[in-house]
Amino acid sequence: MHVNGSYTFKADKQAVYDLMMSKDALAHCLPGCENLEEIGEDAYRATLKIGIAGIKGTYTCTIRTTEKVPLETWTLTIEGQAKTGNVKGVGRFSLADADDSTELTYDGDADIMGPLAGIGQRMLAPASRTIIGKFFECMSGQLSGSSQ
Amino acid sequence: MVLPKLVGSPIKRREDPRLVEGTSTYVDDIKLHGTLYCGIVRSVYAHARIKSIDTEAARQHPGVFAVVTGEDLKAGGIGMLPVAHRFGEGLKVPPRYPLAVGEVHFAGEAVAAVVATDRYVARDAVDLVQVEYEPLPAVVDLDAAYAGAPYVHEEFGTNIAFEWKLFNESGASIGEADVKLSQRIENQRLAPVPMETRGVVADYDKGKKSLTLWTSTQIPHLLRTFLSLLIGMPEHHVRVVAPEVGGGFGQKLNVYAEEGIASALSIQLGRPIKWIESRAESMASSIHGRGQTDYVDVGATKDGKITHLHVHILADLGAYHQLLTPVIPTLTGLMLTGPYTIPNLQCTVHGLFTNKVPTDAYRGAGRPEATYLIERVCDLVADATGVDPVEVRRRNFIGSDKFPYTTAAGLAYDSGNYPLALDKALSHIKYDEFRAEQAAARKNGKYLGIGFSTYVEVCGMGPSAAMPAGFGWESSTVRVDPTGKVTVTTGASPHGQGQETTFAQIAADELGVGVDDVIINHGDTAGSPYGVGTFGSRGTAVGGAAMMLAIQKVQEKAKRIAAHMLEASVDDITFENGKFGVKGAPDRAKSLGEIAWIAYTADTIPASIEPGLEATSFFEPPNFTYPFGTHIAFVEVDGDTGEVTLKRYVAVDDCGRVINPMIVDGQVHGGLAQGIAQALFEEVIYDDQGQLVTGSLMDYALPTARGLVSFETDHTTTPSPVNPLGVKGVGEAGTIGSTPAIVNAVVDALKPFGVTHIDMPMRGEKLWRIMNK
Amino acid sequence: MKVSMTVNGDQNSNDVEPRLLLVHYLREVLGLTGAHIGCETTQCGACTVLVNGDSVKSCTMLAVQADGADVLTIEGLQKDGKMHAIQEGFWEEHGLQCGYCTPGMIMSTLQLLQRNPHPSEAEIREGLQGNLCRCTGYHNIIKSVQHAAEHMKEGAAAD
Repeated sequence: MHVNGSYTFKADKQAVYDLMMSKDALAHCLPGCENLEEIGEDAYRATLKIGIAGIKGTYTCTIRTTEKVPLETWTLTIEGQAKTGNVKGVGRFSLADADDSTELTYDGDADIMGPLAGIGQRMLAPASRTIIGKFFECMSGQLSGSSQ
Repeated sequence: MVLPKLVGSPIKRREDPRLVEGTSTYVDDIKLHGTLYCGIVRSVYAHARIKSIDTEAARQHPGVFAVVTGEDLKAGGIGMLPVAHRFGEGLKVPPRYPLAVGEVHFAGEAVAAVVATDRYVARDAVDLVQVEYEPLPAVVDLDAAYAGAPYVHEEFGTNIAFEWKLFNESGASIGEADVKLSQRIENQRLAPVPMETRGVVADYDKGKKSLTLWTSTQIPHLLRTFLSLLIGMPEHHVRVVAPEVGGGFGQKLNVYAEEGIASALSIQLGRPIKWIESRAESMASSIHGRGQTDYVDVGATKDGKITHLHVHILADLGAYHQLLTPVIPTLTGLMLTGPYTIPNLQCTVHGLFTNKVPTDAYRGAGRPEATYLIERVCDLVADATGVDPVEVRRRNFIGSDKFPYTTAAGLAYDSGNYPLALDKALSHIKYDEFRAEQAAARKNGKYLGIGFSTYVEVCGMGPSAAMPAGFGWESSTVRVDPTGKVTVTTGASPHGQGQETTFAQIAADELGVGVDDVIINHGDTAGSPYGVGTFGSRGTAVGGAAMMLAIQKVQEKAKRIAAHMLEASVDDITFENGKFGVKGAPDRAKSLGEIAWIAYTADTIPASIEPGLEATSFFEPPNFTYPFGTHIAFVEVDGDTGEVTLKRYVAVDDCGRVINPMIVDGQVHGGLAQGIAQALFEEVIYDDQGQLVTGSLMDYALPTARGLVSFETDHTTTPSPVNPLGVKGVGEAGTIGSTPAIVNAVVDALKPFGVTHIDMPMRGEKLWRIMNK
Repeated sequence: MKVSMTVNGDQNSNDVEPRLLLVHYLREVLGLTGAHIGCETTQCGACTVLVNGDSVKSCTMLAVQADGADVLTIEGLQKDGKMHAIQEGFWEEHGLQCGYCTPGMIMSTLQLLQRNPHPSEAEIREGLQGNLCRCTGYHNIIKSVQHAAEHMKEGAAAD
């Protein structure tokens, strides 16, 4: 499944970039994140509790940030395993100046494997949009919180 | 007194009381003392290498008795699942173990099995088995699979499992034809969806070293043979029972992993093992049907006579061969010319591996694909030539005086009268009036369509020599008990077809007893002659014929005993109105019961006559049967939404002699619903990762009462010369005839938009896009 | 957890896991195997029973939710060893083939005829759309329901 979109942060590039690389912000805003431990440079292991299509799953995930061009672009890969199926998401993020704010655009693919794919796939796209939207809203809140 | 004939009467089904009262016994209703429940861990990937399987947490879970993997079963001597084929060396056969070893090749493939105290604990334990996979690229699209890498089975270096060709051409080439047209036609993957999923109870008796397997199957006898080979147990120590079977439609004409797994676990643990398939498992691991992309080139004359048919079939086999997987698309090739005299035929079938559930026989099995193709071709030719679609069919029909008729594919059609069925169907409708109504409606933005399908199918499977692995015959034992009651055993184990009624009608008529004096036993390999099963519309045409032969033997013996009792010559014994008598002395006639008593007490019969009154026969049909008919569908396509409404459906079928018209019509109705549903909405969908999207009945659309109409059925009767009953078979006719009738009707409705072909299913969104292009 | 209910007129009481489905309670604990499981997702209706007079798909109801309820299953339809008019209707009109969907189909018909004793064909099709049958194409099921409606005395459906 292809996912793309954008989100506008009321902050400059540096602040947004730092935010997106912040372990604490990620731990706070990744949906249903129960713990986030660093397992290497730009690599984390996390436990996420996510409900897709009414089926809640506890996903054991690895999250990696690669192909970093500071203040410009990076790639985020999330691979998760749960009883209800495995998920894999690869997204390319980029930042652009826009007036007094910064626009973050993302473009990627999310795949779902296993039983959940056979039951919930038609609900996957709207569910993903909701989850992504909540994530950025939360991150945005972190930003305003830290600037105060 | 002349007994009323039962054959030909719509008598009520004798199996129904237990079914409507809820007291019948399906597999999941069997409860043996000490039963443990099996759950299956299934692959979440379409294609992956198994790196490791951690079973420890599951083993430690309270209530869990065992956890086994593919390596465990293999080490325990469990072999590979069988494929029945006659492709010789040419067929690529990947190894297929009941639990995957090394690699998985479709999402849903069994990887490990757990055994626990009840089905809830088994489900918990399944979740505790940790499988680590290394994902490999998935092959999903048929054209891509044909084009080359990536491969489903890397070791073959190709996705082509086999190539099968037909060539029969003489005279002018297709290039010289007046009218030439080409069309790509898809026949989408379907799920059979019997309402009862599969399930097994395996019970190993340590003392007798014998295994009993209750399983929801269409083929208990064949399964016993293949299971004994799979698990390495001598065949005479294996008993297979098909209890009440809740529908099959071909899906249960197979040998499945879980039948081997449950058997192996019962032997290992010495306890009865039950496994009941969930619907999600059924959708993701029991065989699918259809799945073809057909490239068609047609040559025709200006007046609509089809001269050339060239077809390239890409057949989606899925990841492995199940029992008959590679055979199914070749049946398409053999039936391509339909009821028509098409002189030049070329067909190439490429059976292709994909990372999906294997395909195999689903109601019609290869013939619906052929009928759909040729009936679409008839309409395409009608479009290209301006000849009416009814007239195109009429001009190409094999004449009723030409039977037996050998087709370009080499089949010998037994009997037929295609124009008769067409005329009878037309007599039910007012074709000219409909065309006028259609034209008027179009002016008001209302899109009405009519679709025709004049099909012929190959049934009564079949001569052993023409079957993929032999086993084309059927058996029956007819025993007259000492009190004159009749116990019949048939190898054609049914799953909803009503053989307990139709076979009893035949036996009662032939033996001069009441229908309630006959019982039809089936489905248990113990105490019955070896048999084959119910599939390919063969139950009555082959199984009924076997019973008929056994009855004739019993009649002969009864005559000899009657001759002795009546002190007459056997040649003078007559059998009339249910009694055996001497010509000219009807008052002395003996009933079957009187004769049976003498046959068993045996103290007065001469030494030249063996005691007892029973006979077993095996019927080997000399040829297939070829039922046929004409179906006409009326549809309306909503101009605003593209939704199709079925307005009316007329089906005229000829299945030869009819034993029970009520049951025949019931078979037609059910077949129609399945064929119509393929045309309109059924479709198995995989995403580009090989994940099953239509994995439940929430996402896979089955027909409901609301979307269908009451069908108008009628019949012509052209007896088959190939069996003593004159029957042809009717189990698949409705499915085969209906799909093209619906699609032709929808395409006809959308003529104003310039379309000549639309691939199935005819969903509203697709049609809306065509109308709003 | 303790669960008590009346099934086909008989009172019963058992200790069950909270997650036990009503259909499994009926089939496994009480041994009433007439209700079948066909899909587990409330699509097919093979498991239909009446709970306090309302048709319910017992594969998506927990046994504990039926605590204290009055449950009617296919096994409870016969009276004095005689088939119910709906069972007769299905037999007369060949409204079944493999029989797997039949108990649920009959229980849904009972509810339908209780609410609408003389339904039109369209109303029958609407009323039974929550029950799937793969064998009959519904043609003879419609006739079976019509047959039952004709033969059920006014008010008898409420029995």
